[in-house]
Amino acid sequence: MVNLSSNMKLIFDVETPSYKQGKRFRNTIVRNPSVMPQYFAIIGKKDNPIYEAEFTSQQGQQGQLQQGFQQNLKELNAFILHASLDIVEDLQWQVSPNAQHGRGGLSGGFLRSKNVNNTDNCYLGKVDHFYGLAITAYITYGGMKLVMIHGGPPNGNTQIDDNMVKSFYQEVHELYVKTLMNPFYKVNEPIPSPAFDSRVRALAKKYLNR
Amino acid sequence: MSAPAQSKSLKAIGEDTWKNKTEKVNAELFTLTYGAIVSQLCADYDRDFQKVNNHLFSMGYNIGVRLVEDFLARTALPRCENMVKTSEMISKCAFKIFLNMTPQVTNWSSEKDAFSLMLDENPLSDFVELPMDAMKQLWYSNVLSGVLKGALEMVQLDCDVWFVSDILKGDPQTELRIKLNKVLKDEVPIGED
Amino acid sequence: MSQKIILPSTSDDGIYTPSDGYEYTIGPKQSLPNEANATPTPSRIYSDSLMHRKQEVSLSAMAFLFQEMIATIHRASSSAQDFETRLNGYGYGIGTRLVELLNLRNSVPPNYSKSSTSNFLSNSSSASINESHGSSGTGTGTISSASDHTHYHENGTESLAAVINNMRPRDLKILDILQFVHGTMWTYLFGHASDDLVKSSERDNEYMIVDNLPMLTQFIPAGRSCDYFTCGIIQGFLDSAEFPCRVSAHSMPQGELDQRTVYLIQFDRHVLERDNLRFGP
Repeated sequence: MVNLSSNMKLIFDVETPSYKQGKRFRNTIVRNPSVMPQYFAIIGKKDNPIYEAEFTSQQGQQGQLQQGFQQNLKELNAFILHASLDIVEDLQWQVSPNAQHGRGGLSGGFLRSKNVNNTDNCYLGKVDHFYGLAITAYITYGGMKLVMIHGGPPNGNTQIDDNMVKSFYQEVHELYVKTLMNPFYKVNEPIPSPAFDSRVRALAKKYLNR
Repeated sequence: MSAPAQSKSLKAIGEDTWKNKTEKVNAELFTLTYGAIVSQLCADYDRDFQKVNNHLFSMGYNIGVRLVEDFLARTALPRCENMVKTSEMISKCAFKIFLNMTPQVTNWSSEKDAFSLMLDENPLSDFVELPMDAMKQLWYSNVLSGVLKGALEMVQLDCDVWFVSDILKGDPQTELRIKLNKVLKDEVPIGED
Repeated sequence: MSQKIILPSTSDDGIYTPSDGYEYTIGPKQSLPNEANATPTPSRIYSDSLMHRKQEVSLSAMAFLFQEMIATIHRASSSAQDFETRLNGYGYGIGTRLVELLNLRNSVPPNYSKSSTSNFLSNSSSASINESHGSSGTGTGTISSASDHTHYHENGTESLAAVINNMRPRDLKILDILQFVHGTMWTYLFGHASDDLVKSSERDNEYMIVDNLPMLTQFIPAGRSCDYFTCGIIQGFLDSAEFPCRVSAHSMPQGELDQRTVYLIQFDRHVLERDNLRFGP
């Protein structure tokens, strides 16, 4: 589990009310309008990340390193994702997790993906949101959760291209299965393989940030 | 019988036996079972890969001494007179009948007492990628060395069998080498003349 | 931004090199601008297709390997119980892999293999690819063909995910997943569906899978201890899919079927509760 405690006081300034902090978070994205980062993680059975990565769009000048999420807000990503896991776990046992019913604040179509096929219950579509960021999720047959925070253009809610995102998740799922088939890999352990990492990043470039 | 004709019929025997006289199973079950064995051994021996190699070899040896009977029962082939014939028997018949493989025989020594088998497909190693520490020392398919050692001993050939290279270790090919030490004389039991 | 968090040096943006891979103590790393265009790190297991090539080995070879595995475990075990537990463990790891592999393969549309064969033949350097040889161009072999295959696979047409429109739905109900075990998984392992799938009339958390002639243990006389390998496969499969259970093997001869074996599956209570709550009686 990511150790957030030492960084928490840097992120959550107790003097500033939380709604303003969220705004500050969103404003950092506004300042860099070409930034469309994603934070992607594979979460294991004990809510432990077994893989994490940040992807950025290539919309800056050639060769220029794009800012992903601002440094002091990167830790928020893990926190946001873990908050979404409760929702994911609830959706995990619903027959049609993509239908327009949910619990609590998720009822209603504007938060749930509309383009997702009802029979495919691996890809869950958009499951949550946080100050204009969208969170999508996907569950594998062995209960691994693939989750992603999409930071998009700041005018309103981030638009999710379900087809692209679903394709990305499916491809990473397959890479995960290949990892799992190796007898030397133990389930729920981190995936340190550079080969895996480079392929995931290539898929992100192909499906998420063209 | 001339050598090429005999090797052709060995190939035919191998294929026919595989096709018609062999009950078959999903190779992936075999692969996965072997994978479970190797990875568990690595854990049990605390990643002392030399010990794992030795254990795999002795497992193979135990299999090899029993496997020969099965082989002879199925093929009814006579005992081989020399290493050249032995190599043909192993590559065209034995590997075919048991594993549906036909490794290539190459790299003969000048005295014709040693040869290599090139395994270009190996059902044992599907899906496998060795961890960094294992790559230096572990001969993943070492059970095969033991099987050949044990089987050859049962037909009176005392051989050394070992892996020269393995694609799992990053080598360009997987090469298994067999070298004859000596022919074991059939022992006359005590009391008989 | 008031204070800058001091992170370990390897996570500094400039120093990160794409070949490091994920390090869980450090956390997520950012992609570099041109990194995603670079050729991925070569890797056989990620290049090879997960497509089922349906290759076979002899039952003899499998039986010899199985029996030697039994002997190894036996020597290490202190009791019959210990033996069964260890043997179960060997099967368990296989079960956890099969739940992902078999469901993924099941999601591929049935007409896929026909089109992929022509791709193989037109792109591969080897002329003699055929099903029985099993040399289906998966990246093993000599240097030149290995690099050909790597190049071909990296072109991206080889993934199963790319041809899957919809993933097979995850099994949410006990009966659904047991059907998959009885049908798809049993056929994959042993060549046929299991001989029966039965719900216990006595206890609501008990189900039974029947095999009249267990393939692996048919040559091993006496006792169903060695069937714990199969128990492990079943348990690993169900546990991973979040149907936690215990599985045990019992000899139940019937008429001429003297090796008939029943695999008893006992689900944890909360699985029953979930099943009833979500899906009704």
